[in-house]
Amino acid sequence: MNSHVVMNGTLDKVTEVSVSDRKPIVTYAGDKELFLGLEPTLCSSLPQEAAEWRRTYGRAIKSVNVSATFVPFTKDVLPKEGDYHLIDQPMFHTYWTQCSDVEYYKSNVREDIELWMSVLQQFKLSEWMIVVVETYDFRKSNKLLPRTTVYDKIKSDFGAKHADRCLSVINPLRSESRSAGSWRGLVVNTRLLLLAAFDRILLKFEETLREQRDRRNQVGWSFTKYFLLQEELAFVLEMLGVYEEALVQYDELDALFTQFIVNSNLGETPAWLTQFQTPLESWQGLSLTSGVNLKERARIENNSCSLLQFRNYLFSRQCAMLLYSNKPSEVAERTLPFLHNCIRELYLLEVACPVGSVPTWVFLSSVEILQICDTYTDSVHVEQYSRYTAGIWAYARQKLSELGKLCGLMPGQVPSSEQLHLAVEIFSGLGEANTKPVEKLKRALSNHQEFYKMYLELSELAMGTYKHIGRVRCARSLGQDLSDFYRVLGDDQTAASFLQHALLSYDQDGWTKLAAITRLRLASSYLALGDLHRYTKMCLSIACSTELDMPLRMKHYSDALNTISTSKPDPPWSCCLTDCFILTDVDVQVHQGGMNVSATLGIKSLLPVETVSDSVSMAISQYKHESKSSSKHKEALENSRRKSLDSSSSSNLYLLKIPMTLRHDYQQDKSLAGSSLEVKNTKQIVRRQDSHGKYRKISNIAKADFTRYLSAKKVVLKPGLNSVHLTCKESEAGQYRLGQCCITLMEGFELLSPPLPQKVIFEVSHIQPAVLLINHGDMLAGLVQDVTLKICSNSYSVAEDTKVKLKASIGLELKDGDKDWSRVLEVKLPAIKPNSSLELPLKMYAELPNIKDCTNLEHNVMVKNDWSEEEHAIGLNLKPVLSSKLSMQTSKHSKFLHVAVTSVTSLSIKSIVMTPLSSSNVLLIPLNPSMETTTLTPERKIFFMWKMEVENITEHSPFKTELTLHYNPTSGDTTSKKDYIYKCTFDIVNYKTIYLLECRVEPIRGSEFCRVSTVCQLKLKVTKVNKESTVADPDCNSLMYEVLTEHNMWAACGRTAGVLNLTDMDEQTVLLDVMPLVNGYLPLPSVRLSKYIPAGAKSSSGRSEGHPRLEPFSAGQVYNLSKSSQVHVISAASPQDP
Amino acid sequence: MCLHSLVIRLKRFLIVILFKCQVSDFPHASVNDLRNINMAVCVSLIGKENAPKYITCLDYEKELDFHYKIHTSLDIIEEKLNSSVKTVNDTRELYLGLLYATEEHKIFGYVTNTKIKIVIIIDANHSSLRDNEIRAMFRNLHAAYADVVCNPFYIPGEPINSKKFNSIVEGMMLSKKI
Repeated sequence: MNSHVVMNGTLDKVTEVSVSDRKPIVTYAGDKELFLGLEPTLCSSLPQEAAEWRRTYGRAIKSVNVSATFVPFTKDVLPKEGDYHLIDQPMFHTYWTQCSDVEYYKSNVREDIELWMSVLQQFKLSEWMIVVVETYDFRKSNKLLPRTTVYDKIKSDFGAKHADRCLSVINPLRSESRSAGSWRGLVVNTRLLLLAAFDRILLKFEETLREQRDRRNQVGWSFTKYFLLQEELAFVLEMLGVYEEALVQYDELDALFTQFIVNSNLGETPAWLTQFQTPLESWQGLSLTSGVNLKERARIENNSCSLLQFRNYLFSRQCAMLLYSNKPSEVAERTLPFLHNCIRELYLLEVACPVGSVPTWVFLSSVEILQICDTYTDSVHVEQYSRYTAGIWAYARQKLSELGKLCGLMPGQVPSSEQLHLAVEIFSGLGEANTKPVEKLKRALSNHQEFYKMYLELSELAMGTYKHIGRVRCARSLGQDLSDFYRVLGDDQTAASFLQHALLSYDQDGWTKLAAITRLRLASSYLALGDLHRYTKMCLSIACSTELDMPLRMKHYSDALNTISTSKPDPPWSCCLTDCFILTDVDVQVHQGGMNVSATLGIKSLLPVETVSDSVSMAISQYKHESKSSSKHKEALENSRRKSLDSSSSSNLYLLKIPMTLRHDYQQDKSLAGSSLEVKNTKQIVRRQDSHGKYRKISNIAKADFTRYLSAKKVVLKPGLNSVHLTCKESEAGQYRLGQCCITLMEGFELLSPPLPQKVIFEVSHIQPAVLLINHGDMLAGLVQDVTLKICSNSYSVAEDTKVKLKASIGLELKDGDKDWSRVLEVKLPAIKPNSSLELPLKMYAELPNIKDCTNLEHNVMVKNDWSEEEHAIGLNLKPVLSSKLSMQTSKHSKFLHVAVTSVTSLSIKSIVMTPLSSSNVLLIPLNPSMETTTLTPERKIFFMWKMEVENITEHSPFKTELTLHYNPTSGDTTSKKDYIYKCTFDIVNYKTIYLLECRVEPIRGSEFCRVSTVCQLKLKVTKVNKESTVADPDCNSLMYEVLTEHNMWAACGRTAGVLNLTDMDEQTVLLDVMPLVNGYLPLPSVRLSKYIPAGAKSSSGRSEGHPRLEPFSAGQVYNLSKSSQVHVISAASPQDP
Repeated sequence: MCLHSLVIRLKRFLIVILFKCQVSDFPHASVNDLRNINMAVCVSLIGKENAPKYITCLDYEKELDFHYKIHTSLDIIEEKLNSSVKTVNDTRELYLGLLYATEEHKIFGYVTNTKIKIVIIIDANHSSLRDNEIRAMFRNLHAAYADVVCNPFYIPGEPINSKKFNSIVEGMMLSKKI
């Protein structure tokens, strides 16, 4: 069957032929019966293996599976000149013979072959092959003479130039086992020869094509004719299975056509192109078939093809080639450029397109492509084509919406009769084709519901595919489109959700203008939904969008305020602070003492007008840090002045000063290897900022814990930078961290900041109130002292009537105002503000203790107060105002008491009385001049003297006397207390005179004077005063005397010390030699008497001592009669002076 | 304070000059190239973080539409930047080619080494524009941008507001109208 005939003749029956199913046509001649016997084997074995198609001009070697259709050789089937239907033409001619007899060959077969060859030559055909089929013969196996077989003859007769065209094969039907090798040879050769034949023929054909193409600018040249011609080449390639090559042919044609149209726009339009400029009557969609659409091809042949039809045909052929090559993704890839290109060509050629025709065509074509792609479910393919189908889905959706608008099917539209008519017209342009895409379109355009369904399905698929391939922005953009659809449909909820996503995408990328537009839409969606909270949020955001016009911003601003004031939300609505305000700067000040914390916020308002905020507050929370780092934090706090900057706003990284340090690198020998500048903390500067954390998320920020906060009321925030001062009423001691910032608008809307990017920590330290007692100068015991009770509130405020209880130690009395003196004093305080102090005057009186010396007195006052559990003591150190010292004076038996009274301040004293206590037989006779008062000053001691008369001298028991005197301070208030009385008790013991000591220095006998360097005699006489006393005190009977001489005056000779026993006698005299060393009145050498307690004697303490010891006498027991007496020493006698 | 920032800027200026001297293969197109380059209907410069730095277009009524188009083109730019396994020769190729096309427009992209994206929208009907010409446009824009950044008074990251840059962009858009 000649397919060419089919193409021209039976259009109505067959609309499609598959070229790839066709096989190259090969003729056979000669022994037909023989061939027909071999044909099945040959036909089946040819395509079994691929043969390499080596092509001229260095074209790529293709591997081709050759098959063939065999037809008998007749003159009719041979191609005629100018017939270019290559696939219908036999490309290769074979001659088959099994003649084995050379004689028979010479007589018959040769003639037949020559005849055959002449026909071939007549048709200028050179692609032939002669096959000699032999029967295997053992006898012939050992041929001795060459060129004796028929095959040899044929080779010599015909294969002079083409030896390879003459083949010999052992008939496989007769002896299969022996023929395999030769048969394979035949098959291989046949393949190669056949392909070579194609190569040559195509080469020739290409020459023809080139000629044709070169004539393209000549009058009368037609692209369609050329197209059909070149397509023949494509057909051949397709038939051979080299689809890529076939595609190249189509692509060339495509490019050529496109170029013609582009050129026509610039220059003259060739005549053939006018065919494509006829008004569009049919807009059938693309139909992808693997075969050739004969109907369309016939139209091209008849020049009755419209631009769209031609393009459809060409593209479907290209797609067919791609699909044969298993490249559905490339089909998808080419689709959008193809569709766009066609539309552009329609525009360039000024083709009159009825309304709706082009969108219909695009929609149908897209759907067709998508359907084809859907048949490839292999994941690799899906992954590949999804990158392109997403766009196709979106495009189909767009076109459907255009059609929907035209036909009045979009939401809110009611199709008019014209629009209904248009729908009919649209379908009229589709002919009778009833493909799936057409059915889809018909269903979609039938009514609203179907249309919505289809539209949403396409949108969903487009968005889904976009998301799948990671083009989120594209998906969001579609979503935004879709939100319009939903809004008109009345589904504001869905519309809003699409818009939210789009907004997120724009905000993330920082496309403020698009974000602002989206916010406008979103605001109206929320308003429609009645979601006033979100509406208000959006309105505020819009008011802050500088991209928008001021009136629009103002309108939304006032809308927002109106909404808040009318709806009075409780609990308050909230939104992110950063929508309207930017926190640029936070500075915390902790005031001295820590009661007041204030913060200064730098707030940049983005709102278009001045706004009054009810309150601006900032949460603070207790900051718990790791114990280790505490000190560090404190340091940091001090260093950084607790200041932070919002990194996102004002700090521009490019303007930062880079902290560089100089660095020297040394070699091992300490010589400088290099020096460089380096930045230690590179992370701070070189850190990646783009990929993380910077995106602002539109999420609801939860309100932080605002139990502790800093705040400012009624704050006016102007557009631009504001400085807001926040204060905190009271806060406990501790470390705090600044938390969320909250700006309240209209009492119903809170703008909450995200957490601060930096930790702002401050420390509030509290100092307990302190209670002090202060006086001016030294505190004195024995006089009323003015002291001041000072209360420093420090960090606390002291409430009114807070009590402070003072408890003094024994001997100390306190007095507050007019109250009585007491040891315990309770003071009620007035209110005291923090960091202030209160001073209360108090009077204090410390009793003078009954002591003689003037050591300081230690007192303390325990303070117990309401704010503290613990008592604490205030130590006081008081100086006694008066002190006195008694000394006993003796004159033989008479005793005198001598008292020195000293004072540390100026006092007037009177009524000085010394009264013996506990001993009635002692009489003290004052020897003082009688006086009323006398003044005692620190510089002026006063001495008093009493003579002591003891009635019974023998007793001499110890007794006590008491000094009493009245004193008053000479200055200051004397009214406070009546006379102060000073009492001091003295113990008087061992006052009785036991021994009298008398010393005398006399010149030695014969001399008149004591002379220097002359030995004199020291006479030491100890007399017992009372004999009875020895009984009373046996210790006193043994005495030790010691002569203590001034070394520069006296030199003692002999025993200067000795023991005297006066047990039995009343008087002892010791003579000693002394020698004066200097002349003049010399004081006598002093003599010391001590009690001598011999070893083994019982001591007064009742302890037996191992060795003797001395005990001193009390003052007054020994009376030195010659105390401070002197002796006159004259200078040594000269030798002349006898 | 002012003086301080001025000093910093001047320092930066010096650094930029040094930088420019080092980069010998910096795209410098001669001024003559500019005359033949046109047909862009929209030119945009997009920052490293995808925020627009500069967008200008021929028809201000369509401005928003162009914004949307450029924004969606970022998807394809990212895709190209991420997916393409670049060979050694390819790493210097900044031109991304056609990003996508619509019926009316073709959108071309270019990415500098610092990930500044340049997107140009061309009228689709103007098909005589060759790839080379588009590349030249991008190179000119890149050079113009580099000049903007070299200005010590320009703070990197801020929108571009330069007369010189504007005039170069306008030259690309205005010289021939369809």
